[in-house]
Amino acid sequence: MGKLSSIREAFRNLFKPVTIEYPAGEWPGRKYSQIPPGLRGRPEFDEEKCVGCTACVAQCSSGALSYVDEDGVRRVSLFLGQCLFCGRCEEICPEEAVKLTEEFELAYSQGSEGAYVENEVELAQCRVCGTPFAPVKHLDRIRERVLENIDPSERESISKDMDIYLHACPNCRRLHSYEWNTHVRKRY
Amino acid sequence: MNLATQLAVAVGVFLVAVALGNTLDYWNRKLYARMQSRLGPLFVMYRELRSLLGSSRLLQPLYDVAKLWGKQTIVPESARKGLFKASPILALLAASAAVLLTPVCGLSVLGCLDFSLIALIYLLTVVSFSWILGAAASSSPWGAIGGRREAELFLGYEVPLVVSLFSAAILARSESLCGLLNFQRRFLPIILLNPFAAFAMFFAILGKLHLKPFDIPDAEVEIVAGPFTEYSGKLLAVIYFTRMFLFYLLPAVFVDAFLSGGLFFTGILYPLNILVYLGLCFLLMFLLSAIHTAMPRYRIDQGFKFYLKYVWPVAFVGLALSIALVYMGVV
Amino acid sequence: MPKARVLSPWIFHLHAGGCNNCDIELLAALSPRFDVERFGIRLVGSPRHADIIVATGPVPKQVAPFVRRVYEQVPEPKVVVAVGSCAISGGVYNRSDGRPSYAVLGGVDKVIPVDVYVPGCPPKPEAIIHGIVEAIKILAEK
Repeated sequence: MGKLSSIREAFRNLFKPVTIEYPAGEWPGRKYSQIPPGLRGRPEFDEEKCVGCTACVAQCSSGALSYVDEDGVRRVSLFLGQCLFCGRCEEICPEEAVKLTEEFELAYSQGSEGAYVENEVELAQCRVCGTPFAPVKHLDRIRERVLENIDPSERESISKDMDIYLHACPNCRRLHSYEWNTHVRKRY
Repeated sequence: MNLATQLAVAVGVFLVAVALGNTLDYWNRKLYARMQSRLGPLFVMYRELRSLLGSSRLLQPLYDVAKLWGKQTIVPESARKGLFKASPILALLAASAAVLLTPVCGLSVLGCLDFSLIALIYLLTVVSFSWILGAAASSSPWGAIGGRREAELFLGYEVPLVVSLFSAAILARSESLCGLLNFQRRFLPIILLNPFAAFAMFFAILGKLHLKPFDIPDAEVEIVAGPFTEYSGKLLAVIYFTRMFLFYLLPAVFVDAFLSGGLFFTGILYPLNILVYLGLCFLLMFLLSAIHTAMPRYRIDQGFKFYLKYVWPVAFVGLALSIALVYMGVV
Repeated sequence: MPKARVLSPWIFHLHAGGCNNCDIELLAALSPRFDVERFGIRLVGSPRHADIIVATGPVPKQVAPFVRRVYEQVPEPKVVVAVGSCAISGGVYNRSDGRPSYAVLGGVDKVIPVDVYVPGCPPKPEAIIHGIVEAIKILAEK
């Protein structure tokens, strides 16, 4: 008699559909879709907060994030086709500039531009030799954070030292390290 | 009827067969979906998507056939090409001839010939046989297994089909479908006289239309697509079209043989019979869909044993009952 | 009135390696919750009956000839939808510098031409339906 009960259940379901009617309504059908809060969708860069430190690039699980330095600009780009939406970039970003939004309708066809998410940051030039080596915003942020967290009595001298070496590329810092004398050993 | 009227009725019967076959197939899909608590192919499409996806899915089976007609037809290199291409066409011709024989609401071209019931049974057999031959000709292991299972199931369901139709013919003392209709109009619908035969025929229809629990030859997950695996394009369109004809034929033969063809009203109310005929076809399809939805698929040995254990005895009891009723002069 | 191939697109699910998550989401798209049969889309068992190939998984090197063979068995006109990050570029199966691991080819489009890409790991069933509707629009042009 189990078969009769399954027929009875079939009749009970006749007028009770459970379908979520996607993509009815406005297209894309966000109104009719079931989006749990905290859904990990497409990552987005906040252009004001991102400093171009490329911590996310180092942390990316699948190599979807990459960066290119050219023409005095650092371009960080995320290839959505390789992104796992794991959230490690959001976790590691020191400026909280990468956030995973709740967008999930990401289908794209051949040759369309919808597959990359990009952000550009301007590179600073070395004040000695002129080669671009690090983003301007990153250097400013480093200065802010160091001065914030350091012992207040040292702030003045550290700030003066940073004026000398911060905007120089690592090669020039190496070359001029003796004459600039900014190493921390002079304080001990 | 003269030739012109006969041709007109023949064309009319064909159109009714296509329309009713399409609608019964759609009705089956819709009920199958609704009983699984989901919406089926939509009868009224969402307004925003009408330009892209059409305004209703009522003609979905015909859309399937039209789409398949426009696809590339691939014939596998190691198949026996003549038999491979001929068998779907043979099945379609047999089904079309069977459509001409079946009365629609009392009207038919060839249904009043003296032997139309026997010809109908033969043509239904030819449909199944040509599908088995096509499966054998496709030279693929899925076709081989599918064809073998279809042959075994064919033995299971064809005997009750023939025996129950013969029980009805014995009661009506006539081998023509018109004779069956006339007998039922004078006397009683045969389902009331011989419910065993109707029961056996109901299960034979389940097997012939490949509805669960007997959709063994089409078993998707197990043997890819069974007998029809290697068909594509125009040949597959012919197979689906034949299947649509079968969806019309078998309920129509059941209604004609056991439910007096829907002819309950006479005289001035005769056109109401159309509604009765359609209503009975849809009711029968409803019951078939309920079983199709609720049951899982049988294995081939379970399916065949089901027929042997439950359906064959009932069919033969129906035959004995018919003979007894005639012998005792009740009918 | 749109063409018949838009009104009745049949799907074949091609599983080319992978963790099966995208396959589960694809089958969820066919389940009563996100029913795609409303639009006449059916899952068929044989590639010869299909219009749309839905491919999942990075292609391990041993599966590559079979993927090619199944693609050639599907009659024209056809579209291929690559579902999931693995099918687009190797997904999880990449080294951190972006090159695929030694066992996989890194994406279905290394073997067969792909028309629509659906990123996600795994993509939501709604995202897969969105991708399939884009594929149907491309199919109408072919």
